[in-house]
Amino acid sequence: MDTIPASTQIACYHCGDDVQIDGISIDEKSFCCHGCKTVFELLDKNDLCDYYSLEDNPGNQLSHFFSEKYNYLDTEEIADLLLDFKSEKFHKVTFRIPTIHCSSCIWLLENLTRFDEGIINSQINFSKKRLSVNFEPKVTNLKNIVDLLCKLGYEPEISLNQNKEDTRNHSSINLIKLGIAGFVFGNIMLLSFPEYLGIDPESIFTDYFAYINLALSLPILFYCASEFYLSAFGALSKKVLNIDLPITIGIAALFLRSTFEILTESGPGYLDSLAGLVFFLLIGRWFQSKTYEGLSFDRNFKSYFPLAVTRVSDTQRESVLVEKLVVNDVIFVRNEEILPCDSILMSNEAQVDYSFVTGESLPVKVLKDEILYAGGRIKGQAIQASVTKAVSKSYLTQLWNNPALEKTKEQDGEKLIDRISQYFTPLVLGIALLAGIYWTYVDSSQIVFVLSSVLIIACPCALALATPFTLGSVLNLLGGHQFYLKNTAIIEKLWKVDHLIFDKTGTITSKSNNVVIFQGNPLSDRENQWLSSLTQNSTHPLSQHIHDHLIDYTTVETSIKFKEQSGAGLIGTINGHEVKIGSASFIGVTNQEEKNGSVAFVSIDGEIKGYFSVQNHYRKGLKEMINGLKNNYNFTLLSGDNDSELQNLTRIFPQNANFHFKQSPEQKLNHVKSIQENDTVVMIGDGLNDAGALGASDVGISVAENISSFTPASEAIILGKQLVNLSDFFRLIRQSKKIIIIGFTLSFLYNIVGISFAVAGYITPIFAAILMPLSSITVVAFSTLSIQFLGRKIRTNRL
Amino acid sequence: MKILVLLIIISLIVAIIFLWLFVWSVKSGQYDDTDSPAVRILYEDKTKSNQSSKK
Repeated sequence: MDTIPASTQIACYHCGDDVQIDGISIDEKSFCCHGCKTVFELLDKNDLCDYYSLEDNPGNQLSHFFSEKYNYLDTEEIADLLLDFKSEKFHKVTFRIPTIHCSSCIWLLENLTRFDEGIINSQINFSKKRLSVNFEPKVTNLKNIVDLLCKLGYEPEISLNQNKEDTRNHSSINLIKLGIAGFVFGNIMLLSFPEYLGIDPESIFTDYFAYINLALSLPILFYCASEFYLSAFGALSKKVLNIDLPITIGIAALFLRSTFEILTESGPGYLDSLAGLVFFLLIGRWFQSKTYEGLSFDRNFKSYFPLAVTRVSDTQRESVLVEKLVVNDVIFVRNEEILPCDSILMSNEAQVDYSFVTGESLPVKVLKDEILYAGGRIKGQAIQASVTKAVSKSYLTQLWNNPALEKTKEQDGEKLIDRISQYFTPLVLGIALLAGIYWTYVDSSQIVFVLSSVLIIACPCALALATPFTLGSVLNLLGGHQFYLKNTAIIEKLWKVDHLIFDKTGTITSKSNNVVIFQGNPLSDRENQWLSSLTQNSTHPLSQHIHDHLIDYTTVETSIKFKEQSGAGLIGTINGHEVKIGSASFIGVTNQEEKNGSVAFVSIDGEIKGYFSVQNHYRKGLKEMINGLKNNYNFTLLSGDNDSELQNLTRIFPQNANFHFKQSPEQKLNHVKSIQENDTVVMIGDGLNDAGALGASDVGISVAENISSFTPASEAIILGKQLVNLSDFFRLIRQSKKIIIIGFTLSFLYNIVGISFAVAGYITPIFAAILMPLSSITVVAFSTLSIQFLGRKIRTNRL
Repeated sequence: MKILVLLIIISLIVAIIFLWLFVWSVKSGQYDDTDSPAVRILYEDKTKSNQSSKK
C-alpha cells in the first residue's frame, strides 16, 4: 500500500472538517473549502459572527449548489404550491431543513432578517427541523430566500410530497389527557389524606370529600381512560383478549365499588387508586409513543425527484412542474440534476449515474436515441432528452406501485403483552369466580366485596407498564447511537427475525473511503503531480477517487491541454509531456488478467507505467459485526453491482451465505418475497434500488451517510458509520425481550400477593393505594435501569 | 372549621383554572418544540456599532 504523507489535522473554522495542506485562510482562521470561507465572509459582513461563539464549528459543508437550481421558484404557480399563506403584503412559507442540528443553527436561521430586508421574521421548530419564514412579497421572493438558505449551508428539502403536520394533534391530545389525569390524581390524593392518616371517620368532611372525589374522578373515567375501553372492545369484537380488557374491568370495578361505598356511606372508595392507575398507564403510553419527528420514514419516489425541470420549447426554456410533463416534451437536464421521467436521449451522449437506482457504482454511458431512466443523475455535460413516459408511469414509479407493496404491513403484529393477556383475563376471572363461590358458603354478605376486591387488585397496572418502559428505553438508547426506529412495535417484530439481507454498495461499503492502489513502476513526484492535475478536471468518479488519493501533490500551474473521452479516459499535455489515464483499450494495454475492482491505466509519453486500482472499501468492523450476528441469523447479499467482489465477500460472510449480483430492483423484491416464505426477513439497504425490497421485507432498515440524505421508506434508519454496531444493537433488542419477561414475572408476584389478600377479604383502600404504585414503580425502575445498564455494553463510536 | 368547606371549593376552582390554562397552552402549540426556546433566550440584541463584549 502506498504511504500517504499525513496532513496536518487543523479543523475548518466553519464546519470542523479537516483542512488540507493547501487550505484557505483568513486572519489565522482556516477553512476546508471555498464554500465554508464564503459563508464565514457572509456572516462577517452582516455582523453575525456570534454564530461561531455558540458552538464549535457549527457550519454545514455546502452541498452542490448552483445558482440555476431553484429557477423554477420564479414561476408563480410553482411557488404558490409551497406557500402556507398568501396575501398581498404577507407571504408565509415553511421549509424542512434536515441540516439543522445545533443551537447555532437556531440562532442563525432566526436572524435571517439581517440578510434580507424582505424577510419579516423566521422561526424554527427544532424537533421537526422546520423553518417558517414570513416575508413581504414586494421586497423579496421565494427564490431569494431559498438561495440565501443554500448559501448559508441550510439547503431546504423541497419536494412534491409535502406532509403537513397532523401528527401534532395526536400528541397534544395525549398530553392533555396526561395533564388532566395528573391533576385529578393529585387532588384526589390530597382529599384522601384524612383516610390515610386515619382521622375521625365521623366528621362531616368525610362525605364532603368523598363526593368531591367522585366528581373529580368523572373526567378520568370518561375522557382520559376512554382509549383503554375502545381498544378493549375493539379487540373483543375480533375475538381477541388484549391487555386493555382486564384494565377496563379493573377500572369498572374500582369505580362501581367506590360509588357504592360513597353513596351508602360505608367507606371512602378506591378513587385514588383509580386515578393513579389511569395516570401511570397514560405515562406508559406517552413514554412509548415517542417518535422521531425530524426524520422521515415514509419517503417515496416523489420526495426524491425534483419538483420542476427545465423544458425546452422552440422559443424558450421554462421551468415546469415535473407532473406536468407530457410525452414528447423536450427537457434540459444539467450536471448533478436528476432525470424526472423515462426519456430518449437527444444529445450525442450522456453520462448517467444510476447508483441510487440500480446500485451500479460507475456511471453508464448512454448514446443518442437510447433510453434514459427516471431517477438517474446526470454527470458532466448537460443533455437534452425527449420524454417517453410521464412521471407516474416511468419504470421506477412502477416499482413503487408494485402490488407486492400494496399490502400495508400489519401495523401491530401480535404483541407479547397480548399473548399474555389471553391467559391473564380468564385466569383472573376464574379466580374471582372461585373466590365468590367459596365466600358464598362462608359469609355470603362478603361476596360482592371480595369479588370486586379481586378484580380491583388484579388490575394489571404494572404488567401494562413493563413493555412501554422497556421498549421506550430501548428506542431512546438506540436513537442515541443513531439507529432510529420508527416506533416501538418494530422492536417486537425484530424479535422474530432470523434472516438478514444486505445490499452491497453504500450499505456494507462506505461511499467515502475507497482504497486506491497503484501497481506498476513507481511514479515520481512530478508524475503524480501531473496525474493529480489531470484528474482534477474530470467528474468521473474514478477520476475523483484517484484525485483524492493524490490530493497531497499540488497541481501544476501551467495550463494543460485537457481532453476527456467519456467512458474511455483522460488525456492531457503538461509541460510537454503527454499524460494519459483511462481504460485498458484507451491506453493500449493488451492481455490484462482479471483485476479486482475498477482499474485505470496510466501512460506517460506513450510508456505504460502501471495502473490504479480502486477497490470497494468495506466498513471497518464489518467482519466483526458479521461474526457477532452469524449465530442468530442467516445472510443473503443482493447487489446491483457486478460480481467482481465475490472473493472478498466470501471472506467476510459465513459459509452458508447467498450472494446474488446484478440484481434489478424488481429482482431484489422477488428475492425478499421468496425468502419470506420460510424466514422472517430484515432488509438493509440504502438506495432507491432497494426501495422495493425494503418495502416488502418484514423490517426494512435504510442506511444513510448523514441524517439529511434521502432514504427510501423503511421502518428504521441507521447512520452509515453505526452500521457495524448492528450486532450489538440486535443483541440489545433480543435482551429486551428477556427484560420484559422478568418485568412480567415481577408484576405477577405482586399480583399473587395482592390476590391472596383479596380472596381472604383483607383488602382496604390503603392497601390498594400502596400496592399499585409500589408494583408500578418497581417494574418501571427495573425495566428502565436494566436497559440503561445493558446499553452501556454497546461499544461507542469506532471510527 | 366549617370555613374549610368554602376554602376547598375556592381552591378547586383556582386549580381548575390552571388546568384549563394548561389545556389551552398545549392546544396552542407551546409544547411542540421544547428545544429552541431554551436557546432563544440567550440571544443578545446587538446594535450596529458593536461595542458589547463577546465571551
